[in-house]
Amino acid sequence: MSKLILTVDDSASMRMLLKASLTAQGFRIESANDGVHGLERMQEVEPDLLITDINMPNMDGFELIEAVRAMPRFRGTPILVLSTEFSDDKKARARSAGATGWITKPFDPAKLGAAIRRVCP
Amino acid sequence: MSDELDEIQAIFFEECVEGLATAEAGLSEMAAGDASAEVIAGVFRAVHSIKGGSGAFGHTALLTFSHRFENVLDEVRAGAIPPTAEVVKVMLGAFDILSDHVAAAREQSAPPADESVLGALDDLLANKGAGASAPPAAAAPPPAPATSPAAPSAAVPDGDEFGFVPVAAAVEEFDPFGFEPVAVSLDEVVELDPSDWTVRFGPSREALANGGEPILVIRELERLGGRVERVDGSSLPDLRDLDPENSYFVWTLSVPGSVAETEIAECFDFVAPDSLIEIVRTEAAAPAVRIEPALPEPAPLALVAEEIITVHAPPVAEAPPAPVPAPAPAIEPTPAAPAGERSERASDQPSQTIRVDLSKLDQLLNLVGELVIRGSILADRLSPADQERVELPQLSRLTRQIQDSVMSLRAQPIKQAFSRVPRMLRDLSAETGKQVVLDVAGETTEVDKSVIEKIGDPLTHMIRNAVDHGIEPPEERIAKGKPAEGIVHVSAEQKGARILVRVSDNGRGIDRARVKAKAIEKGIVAPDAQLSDEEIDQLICAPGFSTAETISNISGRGVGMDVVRSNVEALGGRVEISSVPGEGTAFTMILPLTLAILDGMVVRLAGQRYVLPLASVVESVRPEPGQVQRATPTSEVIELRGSYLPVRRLTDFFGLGRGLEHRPEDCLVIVVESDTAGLVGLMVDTIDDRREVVLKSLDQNLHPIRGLGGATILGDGSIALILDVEAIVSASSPTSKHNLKGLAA
Repeated sequence: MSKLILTVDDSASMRMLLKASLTAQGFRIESANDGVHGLERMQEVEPDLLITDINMPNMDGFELIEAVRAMPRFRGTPILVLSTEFSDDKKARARSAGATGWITKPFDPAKLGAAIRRVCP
Repeated sequence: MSDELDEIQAIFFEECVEGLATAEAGLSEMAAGDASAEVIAGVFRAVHSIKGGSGAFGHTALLTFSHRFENVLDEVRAGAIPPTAEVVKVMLGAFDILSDHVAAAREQSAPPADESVLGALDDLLANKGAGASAPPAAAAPPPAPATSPAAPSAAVPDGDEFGFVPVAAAVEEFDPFGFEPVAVSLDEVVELDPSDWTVRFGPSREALANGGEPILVIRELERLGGRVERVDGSSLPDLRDLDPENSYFVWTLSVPGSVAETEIAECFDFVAPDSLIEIVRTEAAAPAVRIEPALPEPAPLALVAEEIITVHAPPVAEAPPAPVPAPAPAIEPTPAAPAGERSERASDQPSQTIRVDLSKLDQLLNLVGELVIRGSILADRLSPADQERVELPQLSRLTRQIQDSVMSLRAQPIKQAFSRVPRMLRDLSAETGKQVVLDVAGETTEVDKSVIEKIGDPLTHMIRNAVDHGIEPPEERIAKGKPAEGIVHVSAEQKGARILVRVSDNGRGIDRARVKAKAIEKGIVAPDAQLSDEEIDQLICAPGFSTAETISNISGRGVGMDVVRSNVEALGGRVEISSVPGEGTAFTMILPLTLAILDGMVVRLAGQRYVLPLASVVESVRPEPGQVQRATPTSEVIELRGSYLPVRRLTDFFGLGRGLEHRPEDCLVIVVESDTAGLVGLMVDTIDDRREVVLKSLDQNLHPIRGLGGATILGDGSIALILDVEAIVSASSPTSKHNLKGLAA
């Protein structure tokens, strides 16, 4: 069974772009459009990997990561941040929230796939 | 894939438009004094999203600009730059340029000149909003702003420090933030016969807590040709002291020297920075290390432990390492099977909205229209008792509800069409030196999407007109005792089956004497023509009457109002003008709700059937002899309960051949209420029926015909034309209410 990835991003085009480039690499993709929706979908689909944006309405990526990490069943689930931001303090915040890695937008599909394989057993 | 990419890109641009609207609304609120965290965050997020997508689609100029705009917004959001009026003004300027960048990216045209605005943004960053009014041009950085050292976050992110290294830019040759390209490494080029790498890796506790998986890093190093030489488990504590969530191992690997250091470093991208990571060139004698692992430092005791551990899987990894991992599969994106793609795309959408191709909605609407028509044919053929028996009324009601639902699918808030207005006013105001305040109302009014798309240009002309010709320069206004700032009102409202979009100003009003003189000069009207004020105002819309040159000499850019009129008429609407000298002018576009169901009265004119929209019908009268009187040689009035209403003979209006000799008492007068002329009587031969009809647009088949709003198919399958009451009563004619004022009083 191919890996199931949940992508959380408030931009529909970004979700579609992620989906198109990752399904082409053999991943299965579920999507959510903000942190709140993402947290719901996380529990529904129990993905192998979470990829989340940071700046989103309702619940941002930091809060989402913290909430996901706080759930025992997701303690070992890798979480990648996919954001246009790359300041060190944002990354530090993401890490202390429990993110596994950080990928800066724009992303190269092949590199993103490689990054996913790096964190997703 | 490229079709799909185009489609995604189209959606990205839609998002940009939405984002720009959000940003503009937020900035306007900030300008109005509401700089709450929520408002600022909304603007930030909108610009941020535009930046994110622009990078993904390779719109370098847009990315660069939005990035630097975002930097300032980020500081404002963090409270480092106070949102003073000056700061908001700079950001509004930046917003305008951002809109231009989006447009340029969309149209693949040259990006706008943004140096001066970027300079102003950089000033804000530099002096934290204090004295933001420093001349921007002087501080403008040279072009190629992406590499400007002035933008703080354009610095190369320090990947080593935290292990979070950006993976790559989407477009290889494009590197806006100064990332080091990952693919190219000097080592590859310079070192022809390099010695091997020794890589040491000891993941920290945090690396595991955040979902990191050391075995994956090791596998990746193995893919590069690396080999685990040794595992140091010397720090492994006694069982009772063992923290099962910690890692106590340090792996040492050798990786072929031909592999670039960056490639190795990349494997550790996501490893927490407090982990042990060492990548060093093996000493000259290195090859020997691989052949006979004569290990330099570890104690013999540790060596034993290592061997045991190497046999077993590392305890932190649940899955044992695959014996020989197959080389990484090619990860070139390949198109998925089309069928799968489609279903996946459908499920990709958030649950709240779904994007549907407009043509599918139109098809649905047409089918529902056919359903309605079939329903009325059925009603025609069944007796009322039979209709009840087969529950036809219930079916009709359902059909109607379906039609309403489909209509509402196409309806969009007119806000989208209004979103360009604030920007335009700012530009115009800067261009003309006039001070203009915008007042928008009714922007949530829902209008058919096709109408929204088409009113953009007329709206632009009307607003340009209002500022160019309506609003006076500040000094002139003050001299007249008006406030220096002019106001432009833009509003939308639904009135029955019509949408009214109005642009009004409190400027000088139409200079009728000059308009008339110009019209005579241009040969549009005869020199001796007697014209009412309304008729003179309408001349502005006459073909060949260029307002831009005649009333003021400012513009030269705008297209005449005749274009506005023809655009609006092409939509089945019309333009109304009202003006009070010294007080202002209002232009109103009266537009139909396209493709609606209409409650209609089927009337006969010269034996043919027409449909009169029931919404405008007040009553119908069978005139007594003498009740309809000649008011002038060419106009008639009807006396109704002591007052006189103008009467129009529709057979004359449409040139159907019967003139005034036709006796009024053989006809019916239907009193209709219009926005323009109040109550007016329309003379028809007879009334046939009352029914719901589906309005079918004529404009794809016929040139717009004044007085006709569309066509429909009646129950018996024959075609009837639908009358446009407003157009009929407002058609320039001697019986307009203006001429009857004295008579009616």
